[in-house]
Amino acid sequence: MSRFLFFVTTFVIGFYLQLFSDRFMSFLGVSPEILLLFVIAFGFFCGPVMGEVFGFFWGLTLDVMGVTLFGLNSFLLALAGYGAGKLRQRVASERPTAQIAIGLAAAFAYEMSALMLHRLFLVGVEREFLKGLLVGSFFNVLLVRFVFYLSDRWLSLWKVHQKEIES
Amino acid sequence: MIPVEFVHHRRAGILLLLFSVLAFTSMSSKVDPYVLGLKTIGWYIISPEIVYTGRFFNQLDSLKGQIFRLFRVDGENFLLRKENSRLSKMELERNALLEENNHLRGLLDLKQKNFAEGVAAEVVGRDMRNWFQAVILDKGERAGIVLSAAVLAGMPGKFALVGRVKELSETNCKVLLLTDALSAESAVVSGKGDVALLVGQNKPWLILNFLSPSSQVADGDVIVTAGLGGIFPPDIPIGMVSDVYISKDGYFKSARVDPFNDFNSFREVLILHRDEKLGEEPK
Repeated sequence: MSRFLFFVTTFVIGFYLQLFSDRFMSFLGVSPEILLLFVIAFGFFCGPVMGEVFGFFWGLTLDVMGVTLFGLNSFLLALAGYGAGKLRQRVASERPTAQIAIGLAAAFAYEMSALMLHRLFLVGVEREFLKGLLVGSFFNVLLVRFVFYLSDRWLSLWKVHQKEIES
Repeated sequence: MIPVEFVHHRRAGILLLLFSVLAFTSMSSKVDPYVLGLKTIGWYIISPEIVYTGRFFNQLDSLKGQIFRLFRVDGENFLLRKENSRLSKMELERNALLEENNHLRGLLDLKQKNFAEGVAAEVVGRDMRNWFQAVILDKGERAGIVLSAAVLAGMPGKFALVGRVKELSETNCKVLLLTDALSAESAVVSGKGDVALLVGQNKPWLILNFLSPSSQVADGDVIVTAGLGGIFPPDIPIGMVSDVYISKDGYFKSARVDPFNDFNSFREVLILHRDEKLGEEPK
């Protein structure tokens, strides 16, 4: 029950945070990918399953809200969560420099993958790669530490962190 | 049969595979009615939240705008207050300078027209315990001031006697005001020729004593110096009669005289050079 509550609460709060950042933090038409950063943080803190589950469902919400390729965000965020979870033993994600590098890499990987999928499934529709990459990287570098800190505190609050590591 | 342990160990990969299949199916079948139906259901679920959140954010945005506007208005208000304070100060300074300028112009005018030998001086102090009795001026012997010299003050065109130099040093002098009870000067009712003694009362007014019972003095008459005794030149205005009555002993008339000068406020005066030939200071 507690686990279910955690999932629902986290899902809803993350969704509202993304709405908030879309509204108040967008720059040059690009808003921060808060959910991407949260998915990566959860992946690093709790492993690939937690990361990809949150990634898939948050991505699905973003896809429902959007009008472009349905499934794009759910796939990319699930992949990001899985990748972060798989890398957690190899990257010291508690270090600020590592977090910044993760933020940059995430922005690059997300934009590249989105571009490729766009080209694969939406012929003739070009995605603004460079602007998304530059502004997205800027936002990720700016917010990644905050998101990691917040995720850590949130997971500690629900004691999910420990359970996931133990399992 | 797939072993449970195998699934458990590879659940992340299996889940990712499942999610990928679902996502790619959706992407590749974007026009498929099932996918569109799924999307419609999803939108049906989350759209109220998005609408309410949007409204809330709109209010937040408006509030933010109002707060910023409030801060801006507060800042402008602060600057305007500062500016207002500066202008008020300038206005006060300007008025003071204007007043001083008028006084000095008047003194200069009077000096040039009537009393070429006069010296302009500034009031630098007062006898605090005896406000109506004495003032201190910033000119003394060095400026050619002599004892018993007449001291005039007032607005341009309305100069009137205020007293005489009582004590003198090199750089300043003390003036005994007409209002001092020790002050007694001969005065005349202008236009009527009645000569009498003008005595101070330590109050803002003077009493004209020893008027003849047959005197025609009346309220509104102007009192000027008589020029007797050699202390003051004749015809310097002093004040105006405001009340006439019979003295206590019944032999004379007396009149209350309101000086032309407000003894509380004059700051610049003109000291006349006393004509030594006129006479010595009375003991």
